[in-house]
Amino acid sequence: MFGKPKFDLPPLPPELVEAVKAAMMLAEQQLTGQEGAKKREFVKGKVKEAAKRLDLRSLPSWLEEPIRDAVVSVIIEVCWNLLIKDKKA
Amino acid sequence: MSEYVCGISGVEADEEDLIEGSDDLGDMPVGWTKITLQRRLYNPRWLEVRQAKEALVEVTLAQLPEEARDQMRPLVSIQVDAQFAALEASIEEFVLDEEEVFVAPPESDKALAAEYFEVRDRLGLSNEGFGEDDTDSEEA
Repeated sequence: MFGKPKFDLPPLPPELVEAVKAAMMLAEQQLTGQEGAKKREFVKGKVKEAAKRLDLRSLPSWLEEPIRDAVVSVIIEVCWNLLIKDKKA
Repeated sequence: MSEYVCGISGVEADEEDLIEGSDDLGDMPVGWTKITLQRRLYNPRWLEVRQAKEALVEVTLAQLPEEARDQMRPLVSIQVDAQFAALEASIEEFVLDEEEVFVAPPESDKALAAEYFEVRDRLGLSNEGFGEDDTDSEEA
């Protein structure tokens, strides 16, 4: 009853990362000159759509939405960080 | 059925023995023993969040080029921690599993007394202070 929970988080589909990259490029084009927070919100909106297709049925149901939201935010931050690093390189 | 049933002998307290005391033992009759077992356990939901966080770090890193993973791990961990901070704060880390049992007065039955004193003894509790008759029962 109180043992360690066992569930697997399925691998993130590569399309999700691609969706983030595409949304970031779109944000750069469409929101040129606007502040980063606005671009981030724009990207988040696009990626949330893509994240709806994530199959999280193996998770406890109460955790599905928090995980889906976290996946979106974390993957955006990571991609943004990589983009900044690439730009600096 | 009485609320007070002896966990060792199965005997029930007589309704007429119930008394209203000024302590926190309700109407438990004189001589009866109340045993409360409290066990601290991890909250299953808290454990699920912990596991979900660990899994999310790994699946996120798996999306990155292999050579970038070690470098990105701290950033990903911080991001994941931040994402779950509010949810984690709303969940207690531990839950209390509590059980109560009652034992009838040991002086009411020799066999009960023997078991009662044995349990106390095994738990490292002194049997001093009980009546001489009860001590005899312990030896019986």
